[in-house]
Amino acid sequence: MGATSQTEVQDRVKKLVDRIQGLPTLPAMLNNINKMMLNPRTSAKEVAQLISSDPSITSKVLRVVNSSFYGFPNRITTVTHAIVILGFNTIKSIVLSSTIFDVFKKDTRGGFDRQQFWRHSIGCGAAAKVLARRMGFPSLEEIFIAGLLHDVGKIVLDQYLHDRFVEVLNTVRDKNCLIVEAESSALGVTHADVGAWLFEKWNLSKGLVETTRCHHNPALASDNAKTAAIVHFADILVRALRFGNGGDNKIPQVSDAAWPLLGMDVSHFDGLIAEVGDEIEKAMVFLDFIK
Amino acid sequence: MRVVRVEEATAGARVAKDILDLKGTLLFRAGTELTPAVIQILQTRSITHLFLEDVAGAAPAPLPAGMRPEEIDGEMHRLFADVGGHPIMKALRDSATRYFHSRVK
Amino acid sequence: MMERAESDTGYVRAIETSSPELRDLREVVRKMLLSRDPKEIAHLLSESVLRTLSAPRGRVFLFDSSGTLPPPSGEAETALLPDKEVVEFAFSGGRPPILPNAAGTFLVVFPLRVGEQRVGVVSIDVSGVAEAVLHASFEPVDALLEPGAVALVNATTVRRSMGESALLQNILDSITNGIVTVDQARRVTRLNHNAMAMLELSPDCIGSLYQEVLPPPITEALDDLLRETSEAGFAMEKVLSYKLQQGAELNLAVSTSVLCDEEYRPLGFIVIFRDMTASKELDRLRRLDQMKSEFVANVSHELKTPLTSIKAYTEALVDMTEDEQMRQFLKVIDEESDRLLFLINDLLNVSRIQSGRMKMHFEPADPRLAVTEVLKISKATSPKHQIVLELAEDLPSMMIDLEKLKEVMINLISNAIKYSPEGGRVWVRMRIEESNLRIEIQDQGLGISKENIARLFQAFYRVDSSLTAEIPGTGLGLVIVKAIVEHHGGRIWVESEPGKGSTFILLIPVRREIKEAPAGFTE
Repeated sequence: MGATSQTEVQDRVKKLVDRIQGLPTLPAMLNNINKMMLNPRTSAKEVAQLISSDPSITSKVLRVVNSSFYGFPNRITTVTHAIVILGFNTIKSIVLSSTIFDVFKKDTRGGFDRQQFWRHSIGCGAAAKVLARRMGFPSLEEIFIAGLLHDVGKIVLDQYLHDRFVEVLNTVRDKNCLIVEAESSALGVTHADVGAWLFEKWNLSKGLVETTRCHHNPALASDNAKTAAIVHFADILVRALRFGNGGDNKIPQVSDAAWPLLGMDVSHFDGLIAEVGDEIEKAMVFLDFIK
Repeated sequence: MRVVRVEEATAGARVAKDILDLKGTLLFRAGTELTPAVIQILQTRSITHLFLEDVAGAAPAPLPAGMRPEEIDGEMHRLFADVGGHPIMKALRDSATRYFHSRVK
Repeated sequence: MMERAESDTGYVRAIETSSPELRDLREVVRKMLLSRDPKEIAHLLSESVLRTLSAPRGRVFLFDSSGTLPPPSGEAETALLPDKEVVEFAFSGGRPPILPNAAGTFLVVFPLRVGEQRVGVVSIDVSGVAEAVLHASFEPVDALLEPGAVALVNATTVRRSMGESALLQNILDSITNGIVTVDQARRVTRLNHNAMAMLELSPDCIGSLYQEVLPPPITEALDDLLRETSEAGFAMEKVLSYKLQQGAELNLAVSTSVLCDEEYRPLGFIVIFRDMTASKELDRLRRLDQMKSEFVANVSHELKTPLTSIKAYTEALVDMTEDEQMRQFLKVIDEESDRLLFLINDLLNVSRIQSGRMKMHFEPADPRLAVTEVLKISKATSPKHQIVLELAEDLPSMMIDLEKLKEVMINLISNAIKYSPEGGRVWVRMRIEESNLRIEIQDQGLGISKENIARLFQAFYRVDSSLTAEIPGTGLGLVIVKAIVEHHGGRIWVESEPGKGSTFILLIPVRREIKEAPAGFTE
């Protein structure tokens, strides 16, 4: 297929958000890291220099690297050291997950509690990591990010379509339904569509785009069916554990299409939940980055 | 261990460090369980904050402040109200309920 | 690179009043902001807070690069070092409490931060004055915290940069173009990260002649540019293509200018590389796209016009004759012209899909109509086959492009018929599964092998085997079907085994009609 297909949903999303000035942009640091990594001869030292030029990001990266999230026995004191040990891709992921909170400026208009939202997102990232680990997935970093970012569409709607989104939240409260249901009938698009659209604009990986798009409806995922299933179920787990709040107070049913892909049995639940609880504890370091 | 405001401390949590009043008088030793009576005394002595023990294996404040152990089951049933008929969701609900009960002890 | 916070004069002005305490505060703020010595600033800050609270001792602790407090040096510091939980709490907002630290000292810990960045804490020993501090207003302290943090950051930043050189490098690296400076002898003196990335250079090339480190096409361009620049003082931008080691092609725009010192003596040249790949690609694609749509539009018009004539005259001929055999022959001609017309439309559609311009018209409709209304169409019927419908009763009205979905159903059903030449049943099922509409078309025909399944939906792909050789078709149908399904936000795949028939499965997310409220954008 040649150019990107303009699906009907993308059209609607475009209509909703395309006219806005000042769309959220991917943190500049990430673009620069990507460019540097195009060059196979780029050294750890050079990328470290780039990251070190921003003390705020440096301190975040070092805090995450030294936290129990990674559990290294010895302290890592320089970014170069961190890159050498963890590799470029992991550091890139850490930069993304530490700086994503800054992309959306604070909102004092009320209605949507962003603190609780990010807690839910971090929890989902942690749960996704646990599920992926159990399934033997190779790149846990990327799954963590997929879990962390799955609901970013809600923030976009809250920030750029605030009044309509507040209507959605009101519907959720009055009818006690899921946000995705209220969005569908009120806006015609869901935060899953909006999030996927944003990640496409940001040129993030196709896997992340499809996973985000399908996290409530994993049956629609083709190439990334497993990842979508993981994030779908991770979302359910975090809601069951009541960590943070994504804007609604109900729990969605696990998708019949997703469940078989997880290779799990209900007898695993007790152990799984305890593991997720521990992983969320380790991911608390990211809570400090939300302000 | 973490610092919390006295109003936000949940009953059943344990004090992580000795609580002294402003003159240095020992009020409660580390390890004391926070009962409503203890909390009352703290408030009369103008203690506004204290160090709380994290519950073993520390789940991040799994119960919202004020939810008592006997409320857990009801709360979980409410959360899973629409999906509790599905066997997988039911198993998940029961598992999560067990988890919360284990945290409260 | 940490920017100097803008708050300097703002704060001074903000604390401008006639009260002596506030004049004192203003004086402290002024001194802190003017100082370049972090130790001096810390001292000014802690002393002022101590005065305000009438407390005996205090200290400013700064975070190290990993965001934690360094271990204390000496007894005095140990006595004042706050616990890390208290430090965490200090940054969570709200009034700092009085709590004892590990050493038993009653401390009040104030946060020092600039925006998101945590700088340190002010730790104050309130022994002896705890009661008073408990009820005191912290406003005068709060007024000092941010300017203090700002001053500390500025002072430490200036310390941290190794002079002008590092500052300059930071500026260079913030620019999104690639920048290389060369001296009069054509040696590389400086380059930024983007230049390194674009041209595959490392900092080791500093000091070498540019001809030694840059690839030939760029070196040639630079030779010309620099010659022009030194002769005329400036040069026009050159655009050139360059292949990266990994094979990706970059289009660069290169421009140069003379680098002079304060007395306008030439020091060398600045070379700026601008990545034009993105814009060139876009231009090329746009032009290609335009050419293609013009071609397709013209061609299909050209092809359809004669066909219309053929049909018209054929129909006239049928009316003009009673001869049965002649009518039969004319009927064949008419049907073949119809087939040609279908083919042309298919071509037109595929080309539209490939340039992303397929237009969809969504309306709320009963999806079952996509099946029931096509059963009469000849392509979807066959004397040798039995079409079995299993359409659920409770299907909701959903937003679909009914005409396009009918095309999908015609296509899939006629394929099912075509590829089961022995006859048999074709099932068409429709039901709701979770939040999607699930449609299945199952046949009992030849089946498809695994290798073929993978390429089934590609344009012009036709299964190549002796069994299918006789079956007519363009190989375009499934491309269009897939595009239509995906434009509905759905997914299509096939389950099949050679000899056991095939089942095409579609999932289309159920979208209901929305009432379009007037769009209100806020930001």
